[in-house]
Formats: sequence, C-alpha cells, structure tokens
Amino acid sequence: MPVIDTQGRVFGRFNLVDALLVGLLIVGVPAAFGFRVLFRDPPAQLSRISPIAIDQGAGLLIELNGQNFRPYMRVSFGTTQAAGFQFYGTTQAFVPMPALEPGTYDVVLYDHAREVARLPQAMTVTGPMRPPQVRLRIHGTYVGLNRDQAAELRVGRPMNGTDAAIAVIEARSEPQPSAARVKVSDALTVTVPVPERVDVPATIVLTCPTSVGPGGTLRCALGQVALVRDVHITFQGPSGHLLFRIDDISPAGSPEP
Amino acid sequence: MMVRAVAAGVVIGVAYLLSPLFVVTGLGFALLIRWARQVPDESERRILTAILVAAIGLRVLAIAGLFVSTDHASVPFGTFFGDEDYFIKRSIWLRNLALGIPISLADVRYAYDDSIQTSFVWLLAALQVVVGPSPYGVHLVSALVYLVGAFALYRTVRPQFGLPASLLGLGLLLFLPSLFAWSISVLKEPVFFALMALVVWATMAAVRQPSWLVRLLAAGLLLPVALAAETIRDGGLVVAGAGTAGAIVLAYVWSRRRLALAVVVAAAVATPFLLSRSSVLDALDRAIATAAQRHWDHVHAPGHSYMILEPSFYVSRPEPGDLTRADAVAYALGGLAAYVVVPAPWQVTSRAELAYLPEQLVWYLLVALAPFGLWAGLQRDKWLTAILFAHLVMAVVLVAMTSGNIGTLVRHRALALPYLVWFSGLGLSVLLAKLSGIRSAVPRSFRFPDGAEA
Repeated sequence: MPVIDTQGRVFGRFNLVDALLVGLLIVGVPAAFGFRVLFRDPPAQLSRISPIAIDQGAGLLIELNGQNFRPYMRVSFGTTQAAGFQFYGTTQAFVPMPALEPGTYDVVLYDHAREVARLPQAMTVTGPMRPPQVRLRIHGTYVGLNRDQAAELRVGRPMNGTDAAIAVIEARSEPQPSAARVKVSDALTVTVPVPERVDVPATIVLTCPTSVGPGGTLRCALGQVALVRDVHITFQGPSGHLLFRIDDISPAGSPEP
Repeated sequence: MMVRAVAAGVVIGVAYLLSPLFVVTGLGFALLIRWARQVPDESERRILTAILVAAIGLRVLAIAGLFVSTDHASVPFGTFFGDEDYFIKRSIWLRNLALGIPISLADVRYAYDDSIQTSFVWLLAALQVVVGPSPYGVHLVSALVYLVGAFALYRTVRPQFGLPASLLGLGLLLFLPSLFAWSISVLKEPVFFALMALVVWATMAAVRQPSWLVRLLAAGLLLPVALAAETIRDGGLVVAGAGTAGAIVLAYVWSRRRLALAVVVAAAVATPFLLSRSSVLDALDRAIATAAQRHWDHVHAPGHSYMILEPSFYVSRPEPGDLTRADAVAYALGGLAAYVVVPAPWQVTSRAELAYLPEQLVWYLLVALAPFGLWAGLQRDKWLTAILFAHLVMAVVLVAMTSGNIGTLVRHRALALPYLVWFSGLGLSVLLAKLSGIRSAVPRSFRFPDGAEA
C-alpha cells in the first residue's frame, strides 16, 4: 500500500491535508509553545551595583549583579556608555567606570536593541567643582597653507577646534616657506621643506573646555590629544581645515615669553 | 470543512505569534507558486512547481538551520554574513526609536550612520515596526523577494527563449550556491535583484504589451523603480538607465542592417578623430584614473586581492595622468579578463576559495556558452536580448573596472549572473539541438493564460 495514494490519502485512509493539520495541532503547536517557554530569552534584571559611590576620575571596575545577563549586553551611567561589559555569568558582570562629572546617575542595562533594566540614581560620583574652561596663549605656526589660506588668517578671527574649543588669532607674522617637523625617533626630529606651501607663525588664545582624566587630573585636551610642543591642532578655517603646530604654551594673560 | 478551517486558523495563529513574518512570507510563497502554475503546459507546470517548492523548502531549511545552530546565550541572533548583523541591528534601533522605546545613546549614533546610506535599512525598520523585531523572519522576506524576481525574469524570457533554456536559467538562479546564499541573506542583493528584474519586465512590457495603457504604465514605472534601486545601492540608476537606453539603441540598430553598418563605419571614422581631441582624452584619462584608484584601494584592502597591471603600478596610489595610453588600454582589457578568470584554480589560497572552485568552473562554462545564446537570442527576439545584454554589460563594466579583491569580485559578479544565465541556458539549448539535429522547440507564438507574452 503506498504511503500517499493517487487520491491524496495517507495509507489509503486519511486525507493528506487533514493529516498535516492534525499533526500540526497535536504535535506542532504544543512543541512550539514548549520551545518558546524553554528557549526564549528571559528578561534581564539589574538588582545592585558595587560600589555605589566613587570619587571623580577614579578608574574603577563596577560590579553588577542581577539575572539573565548576556555577554552582548551594554551598560550606561546616565547617558554615558561604559567602554566594556565583562561577562562573568548570567548574574554578574563588571564594567569600567567612565569619566563622569560629580553627580548621581541611573545605571541602565541594554541588550543588543533596547533598554532592559534600570537602577535609578544608583551611582554617585563625588568630587570638587572645577572650572568649565580655561584660556591658554599658544605660540606656534599654521603649517602647510596655500597663499589664499594664509591671507585669510587675520588678527581677531575666531576659529573652531575639536571638542568645542575656540581659538582667536592674537598676532601673526608674514608667511614663510613651509617646513614640516617630523619626529623620526625619540631623539631625532628632522625638518622637511614642503614645496609650494607656506607657514604662518602666529599667537592664538585658545579657550578649551576642561575634563577630568585618569588619576583625577584636570585636563585641557582637544580630541584626546595633550597640548605639548610639536603637537598639531586642527581648526576649521574659512576654506577648510588648518593645522596649527604648537611651539609654546602659557596661561592667557601672562607676559610674553 | 468548518473544523478544518478552525484548525488551520489555530495553527496559523500560533505560527504568527511565534514569527509573524513566517506566516506573511508563507502566504507570499503560496501566491508565488499559484502564479507559477498559471502556465498552459501541464508538464511545465509540474516542473515549475517542483523547482519552486524545492527552492522554497531548501531556503526555509537553511534559515531554520541558522536559528537552531545559533547559541542565543552568546549572541542575540545568528547571521550568514557579517554585514547582516549591522543591517539587522541598525533596523531594530531605528524601529525602537520610531516607537519611542529607549535605546543606548551609542546605538542612536550608529542608527543614523552616515557612512552607509541605503534605504534598505529603512525598509527593514518599517517592516519590523509592523511585525516586531524579526532577525530571522527578514531572511524569509529576502528569499521571497528573490524568488519573485527570479520567476518574473523566467516569465519574461520563456516565450522567446523556450522551455529548456528558461528552465536552465531559472535553475541556475535558484540553486547556484553563491546566488542561493545571497538570496537568503539580509543584505541589499535580493531587493536590488528584484528591482532590476522589475526593470527588465517593465521594459519588455512597454515594448510588447498589446494594450497601450499597460505599455504607458510599464514605461512610467521604469524611472521610479530605477530611483528606488539607486537608494538601495549606488549605481542602480546607472545600471537601469544605461541598460535600458543601451537596449533601445541595440534593438533599434540590430533590426536595421544598413543602419548598423552605417553606425559601425561612422564609429570607425569618428573614433580616431575623437581620440585626437584633448578634451575627450582628458575625460577618458580621468575616468580610467578614478577606476584605477578604486581598484588600487581594493588591492590594498585586507583580504585576497588580485592585480591587473604590473606590480610597479601598486607602489603608490595613481593620480590622473599617471597612466599612459597603453596602460589605460591594458587596464581596461585586463580588468575585463580578470572579471572572467579570477579566481583561477591556481590562485586558490584558502578553504573558502577551494569550496568556491566548483562554482567557478560552472562560471567558466556559463561565460563560454553565453555568446551562442546571445546570437540565438538576437535571432529570436532582439528586444529581449538587447535588454538583457545591455544590463549585463553595465553590471560587468561597473565591477570589472573597479574591483581588486577576490571576495568582493565574486560577490559583485552576482549582479551580472541574473542576465547571463539566460544566454548561457539558450546557448546550451541551441548547441545541444544542433548536435542532435533537433529543430528549435520554441513555438512561433507563446502566451501565458493572462494574455502576456512577457
């Protein structure tokens, strides 16, 4: 006897479609529900963190405890996301504390797509108030300009840098043939002429926001770059980006070196 | 009957609860099979049903296998290709933002990522606003869209190319391993392919449909579809526009032998004159240099790359004017040759390339058969052949002149295969018929029950 005959009956008795439907109802539907109950991801929960208070700038690992954690989850303190999520099991994880201003923050747990748990006002960051910004007088040189760009550099002209920094040209000199200072080793810096370009020595007053870095140090840094000699800062000029090489730095208002 | 209906309703309801897109695409697959069965010939109807059911079943199995094989304790969902993770996550973030569901601020930034701009992400997001997050269901949507596009092309070529050639082409489109993989991926390929298939169908309808209203509507459809393709993938408008324009020129000239001869003579006379003008040469130089720069970038990107010119060319990034005339010609010809040959069997260096080798040999065979199919196609239907050939040329040239990475080349060759397989199928059909002394089996006129020839 064929399994399915010419009239579509299984073993000559049951209509094939009926048999499929019955099979799905009796076996498929309960199996699907059981599969969903057993294997569906349960919602994650966040029960506590430790420590609940830290000093500003302290680069600690914060321990999270809860339920149903997954390795791909993320954590933020307020709106600042932690740099990592070290998964130690479904009930424990560690995250590096980001640099935050003094205050109290919600601790928020996310999966790959959305917020899944939140501990309101769970983390407190303590520390002294700091000045929001500082003014620095920087002696240096705009490098690698063409003639048009050099002509656009006028005293008093403001220019935007990265991280909300603003520079104003306080003084400038005549253009000179361009030369790039290239550090080839710790002990050796060579000067390489750049043909068809000019450099414009200038003094700028830079207003930059402050931030707290590792170890709690107060920093004025543009795009994570520390301001030291031979570092180049990028500014948005009238017709494109301009590079400014630092020669010397002093607080604004100090006498000229 | 009532009991069966209730039972079916319960099953569908449960299935919808578990995966809405499984039910929606299931309905789509059923409609596709119904459309496929609207052919007058009984044997063709059975073959088409079997092919489509097999294609659907294998794809559903592959996607189910992905679900079962994924460790959901470690990753939120599984994917076939790395880029799918990006598209699925980004679409879910956009979906959650639209519904006011809080997401991480970092995800908000990536959701509006400027570096990859494609309407495909928005399409996925809109779909998941309706049905909920569906990281596996969207694979089924890709499969449905691809199968509809493949069958639309089959319906377009069948009346003119005959049953054996059309079935072979359809079979290649549905079961060639690389195309099979792309067809179930959550990437731009399936949607882009379906839109290009729609362009081909609309062009043929504009040329061939007996009703002037249908022809106007089909012609009017071309620009929106081409623009939609451009939003999915850069170059969609160029392929659709240049392909359609080239098809019109080719079909018009082919049917007028004297005009064709005149065009050839005029081109032979005009070419030296044009090439003597500096403005033309400068434009050509810039175009070749731009293409060479993209090729250079691909060669220096991570992965297994291939070179078209001498090794000295790859020391520094080329600028306009760096290539001599001879270099430009060698680059163009070398690019086309590499497009066909790479990866040659002796270039295989990894297991993935070794696994791809059988398909590469099939690719060689398809390319070898295509000229026979092209010639036979021009004898049977100049319009259809011109449309397919023009799109094929655009898809080949855009990739051949700029590619430099083997993986990327193989992936982008899939843009040309949907046009090539019909010529290859027809070429094989014609050659076998000639070898066995059988006359062409294509009927003088062929219409589907709905009155359409294409």
